[in-house]
Amino acid sequence: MSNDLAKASDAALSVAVARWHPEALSEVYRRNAGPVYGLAKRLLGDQALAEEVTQEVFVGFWERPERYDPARGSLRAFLLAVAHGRAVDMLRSEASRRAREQRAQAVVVDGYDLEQEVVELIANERVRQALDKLPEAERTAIELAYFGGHSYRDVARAQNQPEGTVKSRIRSGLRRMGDELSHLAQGTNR
Amino acid sequence: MTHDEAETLLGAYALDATSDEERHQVEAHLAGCPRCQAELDAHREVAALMAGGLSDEVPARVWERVAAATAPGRATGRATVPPPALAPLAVPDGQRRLRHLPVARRPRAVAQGLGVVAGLAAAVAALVLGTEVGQLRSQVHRLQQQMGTASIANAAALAATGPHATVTLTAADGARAATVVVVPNGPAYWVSSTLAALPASETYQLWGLVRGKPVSLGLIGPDPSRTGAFRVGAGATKLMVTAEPAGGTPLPTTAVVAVGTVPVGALG
Repeated sequence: MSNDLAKASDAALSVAVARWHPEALSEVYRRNAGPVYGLAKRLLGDQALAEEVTQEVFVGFWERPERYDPARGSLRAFLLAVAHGRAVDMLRSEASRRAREQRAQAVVVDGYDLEQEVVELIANERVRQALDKLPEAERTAIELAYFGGHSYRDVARAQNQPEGTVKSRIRSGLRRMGDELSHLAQGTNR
Repeated sequence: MTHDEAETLLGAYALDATSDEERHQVEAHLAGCPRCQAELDAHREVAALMAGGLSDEVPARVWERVAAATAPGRATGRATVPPPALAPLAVPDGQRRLRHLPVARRPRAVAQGLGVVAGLAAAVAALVLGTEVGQLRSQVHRLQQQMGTASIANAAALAATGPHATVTLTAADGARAATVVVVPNGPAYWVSSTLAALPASETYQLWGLVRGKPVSLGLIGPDPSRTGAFRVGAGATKLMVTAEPAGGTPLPTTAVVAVGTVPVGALG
């Protein structure tokens, strides 16, 4: 492992974590905890729960570093996917299930606010532009699912669209953005 | 689930927007379909780029909890057990006098003046070398990797924003010789020092005094102005520094050049 952890690749860091180097975990945390926590907080709207998710993500990576395969993408994408999944699990847990129907109804209104917010949240100009270029229906579906934690069925119900349509829109929107941002995505995959 | 069915769900799956049942079906398909796996990976990179702007300042307590949960010796979900840190070594009663030794500003001169104690320590060291040297080497290696990285300075700064204790190690004349930040549960950072640099053939070594016995916490290296991260075991009452041959020793072989008291309760 490089003596300079700040320049270590994702692969080198994950190997070092697998070999129980605590300083490698601290570097992984330094690089990724901000987005992990920010995403969890956006989804859950609750600081304590977001802290819990963040803690679980990094302790989980320490305990099972082999779940991350550097050949498949950046460590950040992996950690954010874990965080998103965990936060969405919490959102859909028994406690929030009761509120689900009201929430689904509120999606349309919520969606408008969310869209304004997402524009401000996306700091990277290229990412924002790529999102702006999407057909509106695709963009909204992605925003509601990713930043709002809504299932595609919730989105379909709220937008009064067939489920299959929403499902396809999310996929095609992500593929379009992927094409647009392929250079950026590769840049994060060190 | 057919390939086509799984494929149409990949976007929703990447954003955790499917039902649990669909999720399990997609996962079963992914295991045997590299093409869908590759598409999913690409979707996740896009999602990560979207999330980049959400980055928020994480309260310092979150890292403290992560560090505590991943500390050496903690039960974890891993199948293998982490290599133990150097265990406290059994030493003759006389060795306990070490804590009462006068601290010295110049390690070389004092090391010569305290040849008897050093000789005793060396003899003990020789006895235990056979079993400890392997562990010591791995620890030395690890600590060498920790020296002087920007992440340590960052971690120390992060630690200082939450509950922590600052241990000031002083030399014989009472002058400040080094500063160590200790976080509850043990993470600690060597943040600054006024000790003189040593020749490359030597290293400063940091010790914790646990029930009167010195336990190696790691090597600072010959240049004490570099930062370092290490872990202070529970029960350490004092931190001490000696100058040792490069590579370190299982027990102090020279006199203590700086010593500081760990405040009661600082280790949580």
